[in-house]
Amino acid sequence: MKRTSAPLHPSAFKHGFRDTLGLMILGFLFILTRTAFAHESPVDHVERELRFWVEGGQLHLSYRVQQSERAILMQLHKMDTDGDGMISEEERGTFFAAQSQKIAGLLKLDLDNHPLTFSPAGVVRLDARLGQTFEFTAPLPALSAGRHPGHMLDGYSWLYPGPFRWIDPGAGNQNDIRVESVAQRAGDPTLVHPAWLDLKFEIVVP
Amino acid sequence: MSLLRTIAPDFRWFINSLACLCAVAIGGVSLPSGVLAAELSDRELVQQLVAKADAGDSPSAFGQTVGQRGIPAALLCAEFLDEAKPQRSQALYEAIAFAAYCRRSNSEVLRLYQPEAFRLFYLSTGVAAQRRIAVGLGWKNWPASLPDAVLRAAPAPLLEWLQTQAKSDAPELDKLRLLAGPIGWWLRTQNERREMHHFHMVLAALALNPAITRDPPTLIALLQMMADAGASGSLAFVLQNLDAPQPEVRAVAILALGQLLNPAAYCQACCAGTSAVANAQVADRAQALTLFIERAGKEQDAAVLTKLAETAEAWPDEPRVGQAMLDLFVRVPDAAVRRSVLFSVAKTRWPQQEKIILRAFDAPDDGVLSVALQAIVAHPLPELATPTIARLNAQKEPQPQLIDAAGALADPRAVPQLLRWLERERNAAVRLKLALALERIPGDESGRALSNLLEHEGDPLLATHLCRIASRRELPGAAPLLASLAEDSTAPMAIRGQAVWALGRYHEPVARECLARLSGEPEKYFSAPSQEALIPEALEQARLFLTLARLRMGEPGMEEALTKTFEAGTPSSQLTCLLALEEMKRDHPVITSGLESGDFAVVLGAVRAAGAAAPLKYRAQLRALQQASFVTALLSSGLDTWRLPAALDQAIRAGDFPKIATHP
Repeated sequence: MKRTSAPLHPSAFKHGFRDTLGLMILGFLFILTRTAFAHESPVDHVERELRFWVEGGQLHLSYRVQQSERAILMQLHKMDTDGDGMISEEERGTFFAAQSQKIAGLLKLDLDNHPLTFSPAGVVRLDARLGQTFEFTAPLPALSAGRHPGHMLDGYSWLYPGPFRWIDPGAGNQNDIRVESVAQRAGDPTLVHPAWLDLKFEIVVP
Repeated sequence: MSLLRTIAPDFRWFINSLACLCAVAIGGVSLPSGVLAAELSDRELVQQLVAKADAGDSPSAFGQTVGQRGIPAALLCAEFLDEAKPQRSQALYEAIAFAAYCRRSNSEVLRLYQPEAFRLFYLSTGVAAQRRIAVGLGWKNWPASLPDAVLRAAPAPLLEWLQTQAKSDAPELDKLRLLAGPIGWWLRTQNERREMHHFHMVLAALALNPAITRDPPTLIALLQMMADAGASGSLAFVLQNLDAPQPEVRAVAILALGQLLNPAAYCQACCAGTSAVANAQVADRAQALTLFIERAGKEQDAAVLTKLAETAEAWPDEPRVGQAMLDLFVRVPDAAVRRSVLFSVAKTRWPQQEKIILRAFDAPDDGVLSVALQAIVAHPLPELATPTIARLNAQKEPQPQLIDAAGALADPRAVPQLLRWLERERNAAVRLKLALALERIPGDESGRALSNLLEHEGDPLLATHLCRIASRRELPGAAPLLASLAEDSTAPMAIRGQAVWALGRYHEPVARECLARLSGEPEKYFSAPSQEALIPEALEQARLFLTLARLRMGEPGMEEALTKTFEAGTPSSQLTCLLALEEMKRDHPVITSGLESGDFAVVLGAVRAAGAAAPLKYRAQLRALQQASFVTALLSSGLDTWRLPAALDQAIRAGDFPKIATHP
């Protein structure tokens, strides 16, 4: 049930959102005692794909969330501030700027035990599978050659649980600065909250 | 056959979904060794699909992989369609159908997330591309997946093709029947966003062509499509066929009649049309009632009568239909017909319901009484209690329908037998049924039995439900049991949470003291001995339920505490807060926040809480929510909405007519 480690295999999906089922079951009991029908969860889960890389002295994170169609329609409802049933460029920009800022604030990052701060970078890309790809950057301090342990705690995953995939950990050649995943060792202490996505990584400086 | 026709499209959807899953699972394996789909361009991928199909492979899973690339890949597929190569065209149309399933999405979703799809389906420039996809409509032999593909990817040329058939002296009947299943499924499952009106028009046009309507199988397919489409403009045509010589046609016409009289279809047609159209439809409805009652009196075919009895629920408040169903029940001894009548009785409010149900006790065989008992659950009339309890006492083994009926009737005479069954029964599901029936029966005997069950029950799910029962109904002596469960660190958190919540209902010192102890040191009571335990999550849940229970108990300061808990919570915990407010029928500022949320679950909880707690206060906000463009789109999307439309209607009605509305 632990969710503390980076995936052992780059493409391995982790289903840590099971940990939040306890609370959800309690909530659902309120509903199910009156409506005995088969339903999918009323809470919309999201799937995540993360990609890290270092460029221009910054740690970059591409953070893609894949939404359900129901969640997308609810987002459009929030986006449509003038209530005309159409999403203008301005409404879209305002919504995703706020969303980027919100997610950035929920990503807690540290490197060599020093906190770093992610900021939104670039526009949010939308794709046909109802994916939303955010990009964040965090300025890195001067890094000496060697391995620098880092850690990212994703508070957004606590709000919206679901499986995740870390794409291409350690990508790059031997002369590049790379971001590698670190597997959780058995017996390591548990994290702050089991429903949070907690990634351990190392920045490798050649 | 009609059953097959009904399930065939859904079965096809199942097969498609299964193939899709297989494609995802084995996508890498189906490609040439060493090549991953992600590495290929859309064109390369489509070319590989063509090569495989031309080589005689059956690349169904590969086609799904192509389809996942979306509309750009579908348009590339169209370039390779070839009437002389049926296997290739079949594979390509399968990929197109998969890619174009997105047409069911809201237009703004497509515009933002799939601009190519938006251009294809919503801009005039897309029609030319649709025609390239629909080239197969002109072929002598259709690939099996063509109907799904053109319906999804090329609706404009498809509608033109249907119009051509409507005007033709020699329409292509086989092909019309091939299209009927996919079109019916697409419309019935609320997938059509743009062309519904055109489909209604084209169905009406097809019905005017005698070359089509004189062929019974095609006529049946047409009637079925009208039913699936809710094409209430075709009501007159459906009525004509109630007297068709073939029983199969009459059966489908009667079912179609029920669909077209569905309030949603009827209102849609009235709102869309002129007042003349609306008046004509009112006249058609009056004629429909007359013809229906007439048919009920003279129809002899049992299969048709079964459909007729199913359709009767289209007139839920019409005493003449109730009388016709009572006469039918008496006249026809066929069990299937009688069961259908009783199923309709459960969903209607006919004054004859009691007489019909009572007659089922005289002819209980072949499942007739079982359905009658379900009707009693819907209409627990006092006059039905005596025969039901007599039947209950005559049974040695527990009967689920009898348990439910006894609970609904809430007659204390049923308690001894329910307790006898409970004593012997070991199946947790049946025990839960018995407990829920006892909950509905007032009195000390049932209350004490439930307390006793709460004290000794070992099944975790049943124990959780018993805590829920103790929360809804005050049980004698339950407070110390709930306190003990709440403090038991070895019990599952689901049970403890419900026990804490239930304690809020009890005003005895033991309940208040327990909540005070737990709230004072939650870390102590909700910590587990093992390092591996999920302590923070358990604490978070415990704090939430303690806050809710103390609010329920009326402790000061809990209003503010709930606001803080709600604001810091996840959508799951916010939903829990709102459903607790619904159960307490208690207003709170978080309901306003919930109604403004962008999370479906939170909005759902807020609507239910608003409807239960203060519907008049929230009426304007609820109406605005119901009429918001994207909420309307969601409610009519065919997606799982957890009965939010009904909850919204109910909450608004409760605000409009506070004394009449009851909670769902």
